[in-house]
Amino acid sequence: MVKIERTGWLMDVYTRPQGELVCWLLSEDGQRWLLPFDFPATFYAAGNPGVLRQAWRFLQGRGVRCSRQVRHDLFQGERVVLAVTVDLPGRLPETCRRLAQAFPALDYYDADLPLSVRFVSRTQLPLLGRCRFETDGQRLLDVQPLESAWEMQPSLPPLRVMEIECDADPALHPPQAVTVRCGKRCYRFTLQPLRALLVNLQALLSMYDPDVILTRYGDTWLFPFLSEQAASLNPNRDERMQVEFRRERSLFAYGQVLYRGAQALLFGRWHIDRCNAALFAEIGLSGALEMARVTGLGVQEVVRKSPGAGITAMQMQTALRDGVLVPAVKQQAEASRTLDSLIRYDRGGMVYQPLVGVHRHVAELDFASMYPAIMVRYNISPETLNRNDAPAGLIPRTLQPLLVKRLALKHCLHTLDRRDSRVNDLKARQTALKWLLVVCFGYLGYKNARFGRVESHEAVTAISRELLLQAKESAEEMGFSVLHMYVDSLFVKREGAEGEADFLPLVEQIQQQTGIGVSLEGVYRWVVFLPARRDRRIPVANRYFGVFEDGTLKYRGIALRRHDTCPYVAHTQLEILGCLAQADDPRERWGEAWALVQQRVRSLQRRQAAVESLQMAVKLSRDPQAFRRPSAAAQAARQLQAQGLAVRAGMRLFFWFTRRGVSVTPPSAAEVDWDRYARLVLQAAAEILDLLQPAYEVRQLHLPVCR
Amino acid sequence: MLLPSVSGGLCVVVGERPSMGDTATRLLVELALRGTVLVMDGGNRLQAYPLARALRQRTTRIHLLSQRVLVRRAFTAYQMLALLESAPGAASPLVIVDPLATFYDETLAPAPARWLAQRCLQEVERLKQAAPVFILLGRCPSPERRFLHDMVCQKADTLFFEAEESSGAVQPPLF
Repeated sequence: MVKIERTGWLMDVYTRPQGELVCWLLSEDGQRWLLPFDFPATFYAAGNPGVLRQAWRFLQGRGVRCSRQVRHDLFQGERVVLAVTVDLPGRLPETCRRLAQAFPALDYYDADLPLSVRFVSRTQLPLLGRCRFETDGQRLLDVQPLESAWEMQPSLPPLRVMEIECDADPALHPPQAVTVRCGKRCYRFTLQPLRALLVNLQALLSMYDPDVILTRYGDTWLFPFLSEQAASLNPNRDERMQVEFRRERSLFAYGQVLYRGAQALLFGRWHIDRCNAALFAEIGLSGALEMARVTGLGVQEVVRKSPGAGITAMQMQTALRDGVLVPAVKQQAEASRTLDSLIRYDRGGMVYQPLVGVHRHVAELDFASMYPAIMVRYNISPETLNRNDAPAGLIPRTLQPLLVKRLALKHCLHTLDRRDSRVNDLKARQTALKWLLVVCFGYLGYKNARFGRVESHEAVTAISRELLLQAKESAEEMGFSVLHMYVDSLFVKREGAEGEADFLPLVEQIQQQTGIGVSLEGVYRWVVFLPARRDRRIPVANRYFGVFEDGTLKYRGIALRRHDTCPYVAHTQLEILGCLAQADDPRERWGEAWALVQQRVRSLQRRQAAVESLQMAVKLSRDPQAFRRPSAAAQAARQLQAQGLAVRAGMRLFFWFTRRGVSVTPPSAAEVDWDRYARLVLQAAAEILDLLQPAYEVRQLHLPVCR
Repeated sequence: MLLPSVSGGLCVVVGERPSMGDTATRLLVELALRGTVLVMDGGNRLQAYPLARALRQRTTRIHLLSQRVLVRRAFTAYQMLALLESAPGAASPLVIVDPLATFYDETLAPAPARWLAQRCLQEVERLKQAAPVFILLGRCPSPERRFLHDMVCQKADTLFFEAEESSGAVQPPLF
């Protein structure tokens, strides 16, 4: 048997239906390898010794190896456990499920770890990491890492990307054709005759042999369609595998109802549906690869899951590396506390309401990754709670390299010219890491987080409030006025301080005092803090717009930022801001801005706006049958259902306001409710201009809408 | 109020889930005025500020009384069991607010949910020997998990049903 040694990249791991693990590797010579690898996997059970003995007997003759071991539980310390090892890792979930069904009273560990996380932590080889591997052509014999996940400039595998797009949104119209792009070539195939499409698609897959298939509606339409119409067409590189379909679902997370469309996963290559990949639009392929590299989750998983799943996977890796058991379910309950203590400590971040109005030469200072930095610096982890002398906890150990890498990437970005070809790639990678850091705090308090604990969560916010107060005191001691504070940022100004250099001593002072990195987001030429819509005397946190010294706009909490604002209204608000940004004081340009609004409204009254720019969007907060009032969302959902489409909570629907209500298909100009759009424009304009009106000209920003 | 009607054992109050916070507040105020009370919150229903305000309406000794209300929260069904298992059989009454909220989670299969509910009820049996136990139970949102609701009601020594809110005209669903 001839042994072959190659260097290359580990692309992914998965199991075949028989349970064996397969590694997808790409060697430097361009060859793609799908090699089975011997990879026994172990899970553990702990609990009453008598029950453990019964469990041992239960497992006899089921093709597993059992042993008695002592392992470390993060909360309970050393525990005697029953270690159950299966030679085929794909069989582990079923074995564990049967055991848990028979012995529900036992505690289970390492029972539901993603396979790639197990693989990465045991081999120390990150996904997408460079490696040296040995094979006999049939199986993978050995694999050695040549790179770590924390490499600043990791080597990139030469990926072949194929893009497939259909000509219509299948939720609205049945597609008639698909466009396939491979490298510089572009092909267009009509769906009928179907056989021609299938033959061409199969030929392209064989000829081009892509590593990544990027689609639009591939999850929800293309692959289900292909599977239904042509079972013989297998888009996997691994011919022994079929496309894995996962059903759609609605879930409640991050305080809102989210919709996850059905998924179609491939083996031996990746499928990414741009329309069903939460972060892909923002981080692109570079960001997705970076996320897979540091989290240990496969690329197809990482683009479809929330960053929280990535953070959990990273914590699992840390636990496996350090010999800590990963519990299958979280069991640590909150300690008893008085009502008094609950009120005092169960709070969020500090908010200092803004001083409503126009302010000039204002600096915005941000704590860099404040919550994760607190977790690392103050060693906040579930097992280190109330222990001053504790060694670095599991959470800080997980976050430390992530923080360091993101800061290094950011630093690198700052040193590069904006036109540098590396900028986009670095931006995508640092954004991917940012998302992981953003969610890591929430996961401390998340109910299903294996290593979460609500008291740790509260400790982080308590420290953040204290740090923000320290920052405020520092600013005031140096003669600055604090206009607004919002969780991890503060807005300050001082008479005579106009340029960045005037604020840098304050940045340094706060950094020194708090031990957390602070960045100067910028100095606003002017910034406007807006009041509440209902009562102009009441300030609202994090609702403002302003222009930096270099002319860049920044806005929060206005229609322009909302996902349900139609492009025409958003564009109007942006134009108003652009107009105001030309002045040293926005009040100077109020007249011009108001004229602009009138012109935009007149365009609507004359029906001159493109219908596409009037498309509204709404996210369904509940299932259609749960609606009691005929809101726009309810009407849109009903129309789509009438067309035979499945509508579920969390889905994003698009519609137009028409004279008869709403329409989910583009209406004709005669049908559009132009008055309604004019009112929306006026509302959006009023949001910005109301506060800036000259005192002698105060009036309601409501035009008589007429033709 | 239900306190005069309850002599001891397990008292279950079944009501609408949105109004459970108010019911818990009223009950806890009465109990806190009499002594220490333990609260286990299974659905994050306990409203700390309204409870403090309600206490203040009844007494000026707000700090003393807010020390008497001891709270523990469970965010998963497993945590609810852990809370009950770790609770000593104290002489103070125990109020369990919406204990099944996390048992309706779709990530928890019916079989483990049933087992966990059984174990929880065994613990409640133990705890009610020492002091009265009040369970404020929300109406079951899904028919498939109705058995959990029935399991708790069957264990009750005293069972109250809060009247369902109904207005004169009930608007039917749109479609």
